[in-house]
Amino acid sequence: MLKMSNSNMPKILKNYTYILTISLVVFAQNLLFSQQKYTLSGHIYDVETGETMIGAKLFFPELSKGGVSNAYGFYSISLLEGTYDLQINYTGYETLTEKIVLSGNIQRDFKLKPKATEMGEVVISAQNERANTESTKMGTIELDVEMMKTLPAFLGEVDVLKTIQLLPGVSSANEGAQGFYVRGGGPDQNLVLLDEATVYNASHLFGFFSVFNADAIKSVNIIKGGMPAEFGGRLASVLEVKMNDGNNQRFGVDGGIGLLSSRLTLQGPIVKDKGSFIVSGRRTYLDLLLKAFIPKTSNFYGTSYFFHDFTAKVNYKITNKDRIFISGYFGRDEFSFNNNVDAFNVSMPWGNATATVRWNRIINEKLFMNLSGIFTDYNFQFKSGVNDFQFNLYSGIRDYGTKLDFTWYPNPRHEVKFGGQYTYHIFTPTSVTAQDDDVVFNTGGINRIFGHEGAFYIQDEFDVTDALRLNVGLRYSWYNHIGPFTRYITIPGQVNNDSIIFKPNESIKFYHGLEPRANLRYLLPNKSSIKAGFNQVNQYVHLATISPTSLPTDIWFPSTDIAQPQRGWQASLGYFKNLANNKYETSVEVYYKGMKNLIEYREGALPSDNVTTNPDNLLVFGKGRSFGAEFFIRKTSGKVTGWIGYTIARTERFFPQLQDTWFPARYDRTHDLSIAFNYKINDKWTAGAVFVYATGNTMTLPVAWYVHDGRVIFEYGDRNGTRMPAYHRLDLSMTWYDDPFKISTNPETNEQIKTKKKFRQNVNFSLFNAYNRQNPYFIYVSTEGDPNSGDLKIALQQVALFPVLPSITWNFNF
Amino acid sequence: MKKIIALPLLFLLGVSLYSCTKEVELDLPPFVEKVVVEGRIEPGMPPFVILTRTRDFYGETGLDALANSFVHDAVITVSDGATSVVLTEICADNIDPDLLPLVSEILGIDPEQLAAINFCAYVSLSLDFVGEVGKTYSLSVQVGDDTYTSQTSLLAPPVIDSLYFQVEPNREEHGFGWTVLNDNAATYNGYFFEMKRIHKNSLGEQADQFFRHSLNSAFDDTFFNGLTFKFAFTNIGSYRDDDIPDEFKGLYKTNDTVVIKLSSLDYNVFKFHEMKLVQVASEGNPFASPTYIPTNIQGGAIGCWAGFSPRYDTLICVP
Repeated sequence: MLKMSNSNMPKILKNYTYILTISLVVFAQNLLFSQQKYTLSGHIYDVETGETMIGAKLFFPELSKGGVSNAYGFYSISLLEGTYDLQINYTGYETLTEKIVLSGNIQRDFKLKPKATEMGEVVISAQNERANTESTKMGTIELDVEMMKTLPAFLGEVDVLKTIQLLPGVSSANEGAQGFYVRGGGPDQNLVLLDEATVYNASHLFGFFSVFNADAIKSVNIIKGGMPAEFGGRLASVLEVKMNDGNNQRFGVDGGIGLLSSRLTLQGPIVKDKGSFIVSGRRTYLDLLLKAFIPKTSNFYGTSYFFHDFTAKVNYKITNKDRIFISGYFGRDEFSFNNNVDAFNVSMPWGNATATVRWNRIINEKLFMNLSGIFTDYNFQFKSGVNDFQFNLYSGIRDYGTKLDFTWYPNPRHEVKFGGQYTYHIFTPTSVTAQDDDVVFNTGGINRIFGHEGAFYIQDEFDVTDALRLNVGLRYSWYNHIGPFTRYITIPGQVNNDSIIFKPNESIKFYHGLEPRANLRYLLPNKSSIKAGFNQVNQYVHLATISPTSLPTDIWFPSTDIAQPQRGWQASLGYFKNLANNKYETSVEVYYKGMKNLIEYREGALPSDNVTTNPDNLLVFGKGRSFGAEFFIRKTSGKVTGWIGYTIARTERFFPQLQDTWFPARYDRTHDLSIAFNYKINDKWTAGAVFVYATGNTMTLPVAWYVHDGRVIFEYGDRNGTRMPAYHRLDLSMTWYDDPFKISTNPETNEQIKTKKKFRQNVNFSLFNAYNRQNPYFIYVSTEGDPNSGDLKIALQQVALFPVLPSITWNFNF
Repeated sequence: MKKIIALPLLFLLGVSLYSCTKEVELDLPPFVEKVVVEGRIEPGMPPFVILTRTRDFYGETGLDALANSFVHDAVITVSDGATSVVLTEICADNIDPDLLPLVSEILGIDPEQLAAINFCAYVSLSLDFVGEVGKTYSLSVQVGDDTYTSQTSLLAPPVIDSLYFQVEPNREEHGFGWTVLNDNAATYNGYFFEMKRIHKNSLGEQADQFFRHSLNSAFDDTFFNGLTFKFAFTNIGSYRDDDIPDEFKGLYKTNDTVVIKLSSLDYNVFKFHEMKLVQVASEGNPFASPTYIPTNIQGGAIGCWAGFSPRYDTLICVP
C-alpha cells in the first residue's frame, strides 16, 4: 500500500469521504423524489461530414437545464413528461432549435450545420459558448485543429504539440523540441493518448516534429489539473488526441506539399450515414535530397534520414445502438550514416505503432458503454558497425490493454461515469549485443520487465444547486511487477555475476493506491465562476533521461521492487469569466503540487552502464514541488481570434544523493508568456502571429577549473544553478485561400450563378523567428590552447539553432 | 534537372541546420576554492604529487594563474603500511637543470614549459621507496590546518597477448595498431592505455617525447570479462605531427615503431580517469550531462591519488 506523502493526507481523504457521502445522499434524494420521467438520447453530428460532435450543449431554456454530448457525440437527458423547446449549441455552428414532445423515451440524432460566417469572421471551437465558466473542468483547454493550421508553422509543418506549448502552464523542452512540461511535471508525466492508445514518444526527428498529422486529427484536449477519475497513470497531464472518424457523407481528399514533407488524406463513406473511413499519410523528403546530392563515389554515400507516418480509421454503425471504430497509427523515423572509407555505419530506426478497436453500445437510453481493445508499441534501435565490430542496441515497450467505460445519465443533474482498465506491459529497457569478429561480448542478454497495471473508477458530475456543481470521483489503481525477471546485484569494482532470477508470472512487487479526485464550480451572479480542484495520482511508469535533451535513447521502464511508483497530488483554485457575449474567455488559476518517488540517474552514470545491469540500479530517488499562477484570455470569434497566456511559476527538486538542498528543476521557468493570434483580413487572406517569451532554462555549469595530467578539468557547481538567457521569438504567417465559389452564366437566362468549388486550395507562408533572435539551444564550455603554454582560453559558448526561417506549404482538398 | 529542383529546398534545409555560436557570460554559482591532488605511484618508481588549487571559472588563465595555483609548504606522506616517506617539494627554478629532462618525461611536460610556470611537485628523493605490485599505498596531505587522505593499490599488470599492425583498406601503407588483451575473469579490471612513437621523425628526433593518451584510453572489462579482447589504437601523437598529412592523422605508417603502456587501475582510480576523459570528450555536446568527476581523496580536496601498474610492449608496424 502506498504511504501518504505527509500528515495532511489522511485529513484530506477524510474530508474527501465526507464530500463523496454528501454527493451520494443528494443523488439518492434525486432518485427517491423523482416523478415519471422520460429520456431523450442520441448523437450529435456535423451535417456535412457526419463526424460526431464532442461537447455540444443541449439546453432547455424553460428549465434552465441541459446536457453535453460525450466523447462519442452521445447525449442523454431525462425530463418529466411534457413539451419542451430544445436548443443545441456548438461554437461555429448554427444553433438548432426543436420542439420536443416527451411522452415516452425518444432516441433522436441531431445534425448541426456549420455557421455561414459573416465576411471576415472566424470562430474557433470551444464546444459551447459558456463551457469555460459553466463546466467543472479546471486546467483543461480544448484546441481547434483548424485554427492550428493558420498559425505560423515551423518549416511549414502544422504541429499539435508546438501549439500545446503556447498554453499557460505548458512549456517546451528546448528550441524546436516536442517534449513538453506541464505545471512542473517531467516529460514522462504526460499521458499522451491517440484514440485512447498511449503514445510513448510523440516526436519525429529527434524531437523537432510531432507524430500527429493535423489532417487526421479531430480534437486536441489537454488536462493540466483537475484530472477526472476516468484518467490516471500520469502525474502531470493528459493530452487526448482523437482522430477524425472520416466523412460519411461524401468522398474527399485533403493534402499538402511542404518544404519538408507532403501529406495526403482520403476519406469517405463506406455506407452513407452508417460508416466511413479515413486514411492519412505523411512522408519527408530529406533522404531523397541527400541521395541527389551525395554521389555514389562519396565517402558518405548511403547517409540518409526520413520519417513517415500513417493513420487509418474506420467506423460503422451496426445497429442504432451499436457502433464500432477501428483505428491505427504507424510512424517510423529512419536515420542512417555511412562512412565508407572507415567502414563505419550507423542505422537508427525508431517509431510508434498503435491500434484501437472500440465498441460503442447504447445499453439503454440512460446508459452508454464503450469497450476498447488497445495496442501500443514503441521501439528504438541503434545498429553500428566498424570493420569486424558489430553493435546492436534495442529498447522498446509493448502494451496490450482493454478499457471498459460506462456513462450513466440518471437525471439532468447527474452524469455518472464508471469503469475499469487493464494493461499488460512488456518493457525492454535496454538490450545490447556486440561482437568483434568471433568474440561475443558480455552484454547481459535481454532482460525484459513484465507488469500488469489496472484501475477502477467512479465519478459523478452533478448540480448540487443551480450555482454549485461538483465532480467527485475515486480511482483505485494497482500495478504488479511479475517475472520472468533477473535482478542483478552489482557492487562497484567487483565482477558482477550475482543475480536473483524470478520465474515467469511470479509476483515480484505489488503496488496499489486510492486516488481521490474532486472539482467544484460555483457560478457567481455576474456569470463568472470560481472553481477548485484536488487530485491525487499514482504513476507506474518512469522515463530515465541521462541527457539534458530528450532523445529516443531515453529509457522507459515500469515500477519495480526498487523503483516505486511516482506519486503526486495537486490542488488548484481558479476564477473564470467570459466577456463581451462570450467572445472572450478569461481565467486565472493558481496551483500547488507535490511529487514523490521521482527518479534521476546517479552521479557518474553513463549510457553504457545500463547494458549489464537493471536500469533502476543506476537511479536515485527524490521529490518535487511546483506552484504557480496562470492567466489566460482567449478570443473565440470575430476577425481576430487567439489567446494570451502567462504563467509565473516555480518548480524544484530534492534528491539527497545528488545535492543536500532543493534545486530548481531543469525546466523551471519563472515567467512564460505566449501570444497566438489569427486575423482574418478578408475571405482570401488570414494572417497569424505567435510570440513567446520565457525565462531561460536552468543548467549546471562549472564554477572552477584546474589542470590534471595536462588537461583542463572543470569542477561543476550547484545543480541547475545557472540560467540560460531568456527565450523569445516571433513567428508570422499569411495564408491565402482561393475563392470558394465559381461564377458561371446560365446561357438561357444570362444570369450569373454562384456555385461552390469542389477543389479548394490554400497556401501558407510562414516566417519562423521573424526578428532572427539567437535563442540559446545549448551552452557549452569551450577551452582553447594549452594551459602550460599560456594561451589557454576558457569561455561559455551559446549555440543558437534556428535563425529566421521562411517556409511555404500548399494545401488542397476536394 | 533533379538537382536544380532540389536546390532551393536544400538551401532552406541548410539554413535550418545552420547554427550560430557566440560567447556569453552567465551568472554562475559562487566559486569555492578547493585543493587538487594529482598523485601517482608506479611499480619501480618513486611517488610524486602535484598539489594545486582550483581557479575561478572566470579567473585568469595565463601562465601566472597556473604558477599561482601551486600549493606550497604542504606536508605530504606516502606509506605502504610498513614504510613511510615524506615527499619533498621541488620547483623548476630550484632543481638541477640536468634533472629537468627526467622530470619532464615523468610529468609529460616540455622542460621549457616547466620552467616557464615554475612548475612545482612533491617527490620522494629516496629511491628506496618505490612502488611494488600487490601493495596498497596511503597518502596524507596536510595543507595548513586541513588534512586530506587517500589510498590506492598497485594491481597486477595486464596480460598482453600480442600486438599487430593492420593496414586499413584504401589507406595505402597506413593503418591502426591492434592490441590483443587476455582479461582476468576472476577480478574487475580497469585499464588505461598510452602510446609513444619512438621512431625518428623528419627532423631526426624521436617522434614522441612523452606517452600520450586519447579520450578513449580508460576502459574496463564490463563487456569482456574473462575474454581475449582485441582493440585498435590510434596514433595519438600524429595529431600534433606536421609530418603527417591530415588524411592519415590517427593512423600509423608501415615501419613506424610504437611503445604501448597498458596499465591496471583500481576501481576508484579508473572511475576518476574515465569520468575525466568523458568530461573532456563531452565539450560542445548538447546531449551530454554535466560530468561530476569522482575523487578518491577524503577531506574535501579533489583529484586522484593513482596507482598505475603498467605493462609495456613495442610494436613495429609491419603488416
